[in-house]
Amino acid sequence: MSASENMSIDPEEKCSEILQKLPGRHKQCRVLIDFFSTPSQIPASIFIHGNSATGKTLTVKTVLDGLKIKYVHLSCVEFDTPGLLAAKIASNLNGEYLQLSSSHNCSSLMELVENLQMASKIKNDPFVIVLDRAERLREMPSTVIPALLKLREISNMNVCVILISDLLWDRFYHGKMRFCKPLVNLFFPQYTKTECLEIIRSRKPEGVDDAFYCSYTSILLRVLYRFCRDLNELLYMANQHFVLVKKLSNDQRTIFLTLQPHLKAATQNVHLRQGIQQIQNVDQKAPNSSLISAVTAMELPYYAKFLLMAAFLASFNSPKHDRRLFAKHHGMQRKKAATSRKTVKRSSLIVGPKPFNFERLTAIFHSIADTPYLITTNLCAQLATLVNLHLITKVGFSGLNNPKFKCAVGLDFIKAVGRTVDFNVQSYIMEDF
Amino acid sequence: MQSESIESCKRFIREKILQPAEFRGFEEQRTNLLNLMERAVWDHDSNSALLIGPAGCGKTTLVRSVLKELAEKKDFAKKALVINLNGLIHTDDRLSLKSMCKQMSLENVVDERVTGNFADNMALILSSLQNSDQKKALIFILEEMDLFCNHHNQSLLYNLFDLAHKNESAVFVLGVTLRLDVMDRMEKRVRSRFSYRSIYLLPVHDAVDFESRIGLCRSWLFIDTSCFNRTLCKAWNKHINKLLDENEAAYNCIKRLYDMQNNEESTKELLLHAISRLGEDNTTLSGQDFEEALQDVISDGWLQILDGLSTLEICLVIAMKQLGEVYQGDPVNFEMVYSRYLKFAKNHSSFEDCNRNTVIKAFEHLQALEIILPVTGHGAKTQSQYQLYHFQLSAQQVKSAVKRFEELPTEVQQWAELNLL
Repeated sequence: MSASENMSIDPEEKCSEILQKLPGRHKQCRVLIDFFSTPSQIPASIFIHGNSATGKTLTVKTVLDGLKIKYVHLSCVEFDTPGLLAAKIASNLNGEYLQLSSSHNCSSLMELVENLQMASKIKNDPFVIVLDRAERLREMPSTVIPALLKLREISNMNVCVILISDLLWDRFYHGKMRFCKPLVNLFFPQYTKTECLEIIRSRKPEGVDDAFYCSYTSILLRVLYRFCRDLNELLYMANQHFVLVKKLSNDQRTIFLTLQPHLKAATQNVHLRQGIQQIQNVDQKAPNSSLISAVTAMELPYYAKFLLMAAFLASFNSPKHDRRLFAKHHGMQRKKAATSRKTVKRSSLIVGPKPFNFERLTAIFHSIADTPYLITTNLCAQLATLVNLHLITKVGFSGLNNPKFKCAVGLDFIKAVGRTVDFNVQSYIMEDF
Repeated sequence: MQSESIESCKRFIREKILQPAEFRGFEEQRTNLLNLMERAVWDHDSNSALLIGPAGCGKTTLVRSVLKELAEKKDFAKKALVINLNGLIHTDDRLSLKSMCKQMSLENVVDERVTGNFADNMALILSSLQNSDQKKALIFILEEMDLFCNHHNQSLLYNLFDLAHKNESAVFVLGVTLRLDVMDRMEKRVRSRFSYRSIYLLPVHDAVDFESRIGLCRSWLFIDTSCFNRTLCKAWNKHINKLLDENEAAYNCIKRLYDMQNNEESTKELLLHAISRLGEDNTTLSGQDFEEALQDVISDGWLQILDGLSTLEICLVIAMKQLGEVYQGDPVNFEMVYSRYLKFAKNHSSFEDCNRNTVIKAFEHLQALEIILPVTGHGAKTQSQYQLYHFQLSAQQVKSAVKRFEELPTEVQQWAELNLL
């Protein structure tokens, strides 16, 4: 008996067929085909990792489909306990091997192993379990990952577990997990620029001239590639922007000139998925349009806005500057000796808001709001509303006596609020830079 | 050599490597265990033992080879019953009990009476086993024994060791574990019933062992006449001999890996990587193949991950590295990284900077890749941009990643090389 006769599938034809479906993944594909083309050579566990959108799941599924190997693919986000995981795998297994429609009460890994043992007695075909987003397995009990990696040893069935994740294997160690290592490690590198182009072009919309789409995509990628290498995002961008150039003739220059302003906006919007509407009104200069609309939509009362700004100033200014900032006659600043002392002190805009108490808040409020008189109860009510809206958060468990607060909104938001009541917040912020 | 034969050669070798290992070495320990089991089965002499050794040293293989040898003896099947439990899947006593019943084929006996505590159930099982047929010796194999110590009250261990201790019926309990401190994890009442018999499988790490490892590699890489014709075999095996005996590079690769991790699995991985380099254009293994394979096995995965980042993300990584240098590894938050990045972008007018939201997305991507890990212990109320993170990479790693990175703008490269201190 020669080794080549062992092969049930003609490798070369299958191979080229599979490789054709997976541009840019030839090396990884070869490795998988080598393993899976002979049932006796399937390793017990394979760990596949690489950045997101590098075709990990697609490659595994295409290879297994192409070689007609029985497998079950599930995502650990969806099946997030060992019980659910085992039940799903067992029901799939029973369907394949025992022709049963349901699993009989499989609710733990132990019962899964029993099912596997039963199935292996009937048919000794290999069975592959593909677990996507395997990093979620870390949230299960610490025995799950070692058990899955040792599934073949425990069950004596020709079963292979493929774990797919964005993370390195080093990151899988946590808490009390014991030492274990998948037998085969396979890395999927990011697609190169040319591979990206090839894939985007293969998804060309119907009825579009080849050469035209070619020049369109290369212009697009030349601008965007620096900001984003995620293939999904690039595909989305290509689809979104195609509307703009659809009717143009195939001339590099005209395409570039039409696209350029939009692409500049697009680089600012990578991953944000704001859609074509946003892209079309790029000419109007509105830096934080979404934020301003959020502020106006909220429609806080007039004094609540001032209270919020007072909270912001209290959080981001040190109390020692209060007198200088808010008192009418604060006198001259005393000249200090040259500050040779180099302390590692960073602006609160960078390290985060500091807590303040109620007295300080009312004092700052009265000095900036310029109100004749507003009774404290009203202020308290407004404050409670702001806390409920999560614009201000309460800190600690200080109770009713001396409650402390922190402002929970950013500089851009507070500037937008200030603009609605014609108050320049920024001039009141002491920066320690 | 034709490309066809090299393909089948590759397949043949890979099959040999991937086959479950056969047990070798540790003759003394093996005889010891064999004797214990034989005494339990044929002389009805109860006992208990522990088998301790590091991961991948062949504990399970040893047990299986002993059981296989016993199974070949006549009337073993009639006289003994082997029950396998694994701490990884039998995570509590209820599951263990269920599995035990199944392996004794007693499911219907216990099904209706599962109330009561573990000891009662255990007694019930044993009595029904003795009623049902002639006396059988029970051999319990507890894989990952240390995990059974975590069970409530350790009642499974207590009952099994108690059975072995009382010696009423023939019971042999073997715990297999990789923890040397397993004895300390047992409760006092459990320990007092244990026989204190431990078998250690501690691999030696010396020149003799390494020579046997080379021999192992040779046996894996050899092809034989059962599948290939004689001339091919001769040529290939001669080539392998030459490679392992005379080629300095190949020898050194195996040695280096052996010095780092001396279990068989890692050597297997190295060979798998090496033979995957065979192909039509490369019909013989060379020292270079081994060197590249070793690089694959021990390579730094972080660098590969960093290769796949976008320019913006690399900029953030560089900013975090610099912050780490300035503040001596203190945790950083988004605002610090962003202001550092802005400072750089402002100084280089040719460099297009991104708006805040895009940078936030890039930062979140780094977080998803766990290049930065959040500092725990802060309240959930911290705003996301002030949440502190620990940077996970060393300055050296960032440096070499920047060097490897393709198409990185020159100003970013210069920025990365900047010496801040």
